[in-house]
Amino acid sequence: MIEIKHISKSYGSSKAIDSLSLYIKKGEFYSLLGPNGAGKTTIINLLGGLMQADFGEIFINGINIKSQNKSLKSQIGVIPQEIALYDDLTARENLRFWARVNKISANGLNSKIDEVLGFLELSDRANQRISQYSGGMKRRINIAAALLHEPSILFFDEPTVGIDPQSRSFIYSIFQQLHKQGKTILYTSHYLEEVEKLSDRIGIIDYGKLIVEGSFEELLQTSGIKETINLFYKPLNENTLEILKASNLLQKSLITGGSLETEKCIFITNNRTKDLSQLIQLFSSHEVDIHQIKIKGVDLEMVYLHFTKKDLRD
Amino acid sequence: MWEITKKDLLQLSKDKKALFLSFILPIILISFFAAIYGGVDGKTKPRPQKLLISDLDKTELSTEIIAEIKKEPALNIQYIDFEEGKKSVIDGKSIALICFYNGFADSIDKGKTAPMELFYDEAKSMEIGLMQKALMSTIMDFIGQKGGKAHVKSFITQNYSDLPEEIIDEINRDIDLEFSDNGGNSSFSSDLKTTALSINEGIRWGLIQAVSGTMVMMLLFSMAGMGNSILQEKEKGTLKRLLFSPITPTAFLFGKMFSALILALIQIIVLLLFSYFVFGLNLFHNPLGLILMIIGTAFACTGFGTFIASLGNSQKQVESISIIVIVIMSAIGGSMIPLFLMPDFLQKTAMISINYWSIQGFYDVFGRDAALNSFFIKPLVLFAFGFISSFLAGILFKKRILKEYI
Repeated sequence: MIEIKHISKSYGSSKAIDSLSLYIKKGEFYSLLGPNGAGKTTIINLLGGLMQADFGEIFINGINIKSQNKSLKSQIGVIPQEIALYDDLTARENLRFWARVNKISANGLNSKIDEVLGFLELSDRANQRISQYSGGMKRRINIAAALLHEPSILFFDEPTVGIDPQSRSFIYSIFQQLHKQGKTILYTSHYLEEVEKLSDRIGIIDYGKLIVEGSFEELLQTSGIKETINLFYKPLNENTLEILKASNLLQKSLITGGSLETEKCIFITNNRTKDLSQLIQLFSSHEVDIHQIKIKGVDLEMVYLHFTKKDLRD
Repeated sequence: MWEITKKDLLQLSKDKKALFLSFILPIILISFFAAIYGGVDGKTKPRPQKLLISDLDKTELSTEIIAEIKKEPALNIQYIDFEEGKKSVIDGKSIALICFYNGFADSIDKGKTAPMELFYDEAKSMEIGLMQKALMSTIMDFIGQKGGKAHVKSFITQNYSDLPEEIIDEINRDIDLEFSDNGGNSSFSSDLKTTALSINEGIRWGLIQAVSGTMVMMLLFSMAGMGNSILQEKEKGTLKRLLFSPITPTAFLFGKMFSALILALIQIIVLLLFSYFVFGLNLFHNPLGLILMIIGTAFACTGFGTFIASLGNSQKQVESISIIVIVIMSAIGGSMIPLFLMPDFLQKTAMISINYWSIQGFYDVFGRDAALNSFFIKPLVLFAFGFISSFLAGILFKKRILKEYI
């Protein structure tokens, strides 16, 4: 169980977390979404005891981490965004090191390592150097290194960046198994499709604040979005582009994905007949050649963009 | 083609490290070596060598010869008690002591071999070679003049005692004139006995210099590399992961330093054993002292390496800093160039380097029979280097490397 109460954290004059509160139940798979720089990694750093909040309190399994930081660390496993392994060591040597660092006794450690390697289907590559591993294999060992001390809470900070779909799919199956084992999981990722499938609850943060949280269905309901209209059209000339950008209909609320320049625009709609007819009327009046129209259901990406808006943050 | 050239020059102008390595470092090194070999302004005179003098004769003639030696610009004279002077040379604090024994003036007056002796530190035989040149020319001229004149006068007095006094006086005046005219270029001379002050014969000082000098310099490079692994851990993300574990930042730093210390000890032992088996370096002259020196040197280099690593923000930056600092420190500390060739201010500056204390300490334990207090100062200074640099490295590590996590 993780409880965050009104924490704030600043880096110099820049506020990374702004009075954020969060509650994650025991055994829950909770995903934290947000644009780059929204504060996700800072939250994981705070929960992992790497840094301290300027204000507020954090409780893990009911214990304030300020008072028992060191003992709580053995209950936590952090899988960082980076491949935090030693390339010139073998997988077994790496795992032995990370296990010893996490105070695992040397007695029976080899069988423990074999067990974890088996769980991640890397037993036959145990004695190979990490530098000889593929990206997907490195990610799996990166996860294995956090599992050896059998933590009850796992923090995954974008653990599947830069790997092929096969490896990602395998790693998701690992996450599901860990979830089934009753581990409490805090997960951050930009692969929203998987987040939607894996998570019990999802929290969306931006500018260090929690905007909304709940199950996917709850988020959908909160957003009020039912469907999207996807318009595909031929390139617009500059004059038409300016006129369309200035039109009230497009300025108000409808654009959430793509852009007028990219020959594809996604519009949120709660009244498909009315919105579609207005859009077609607007585009036709400026002689825009629409060649395809798709009405789609809403996915997490639409909900996410709805709450965080589409402005670039980097 | 021109666009590529322009682009490359623009890139170079924005790369501070490349600019530094291309221009500033060569300027620093050229200035440094120019100062050593040629003097900064081309007018710098050679540094006078310090020579201790003990006058046991205490006669007009011994005072006179000392006054002559004083005029020699290559020598810097310091009066000292005989026993104290010998101890200073044995301890390696002074290069040489010249002693004019009792009977020095009498012997010259009687045209006999003058009793005098030059004691020198065998570890500094190269310096002695240069000093002897200056010393011998002054002493031999003086003795030749005084001794030759006295010898001729004595011969005249003894063999032509029946001549009238005024003729003998005239002959003596001619003798004085002759000896002053030819500047004393007489074949009459006296030997200067030289004695090396070390108990063991055949100590290979050159080998000791080569082994200890090179060993310390290379050790500093290795330790800077080990220190750099802290930044490597940071850049790779393993430091962050370690800090998520129950390990504290202090434990991490100590762990790093300890592994570096072990490596340094192994490195020194391997190099010394190699020198023992291949070159016959005597490792057993002062075993306890050797152990102290090995630990002291390893500790100082480890602390220094970690300190250097904590100065940079990236591995590449640390590599550049360490190359510059270590090369300069090794040069002024005597690893690359014998100290006596350097100007006086650089010889004094050498004392701020680990190389100096380490090399001097190894001289003591491999050959020189320095007094205990004179020897112990060397490992003590090395331990102080280790403690201070480790302490500073700890502070900088927390302030600079951990700053983004705190």
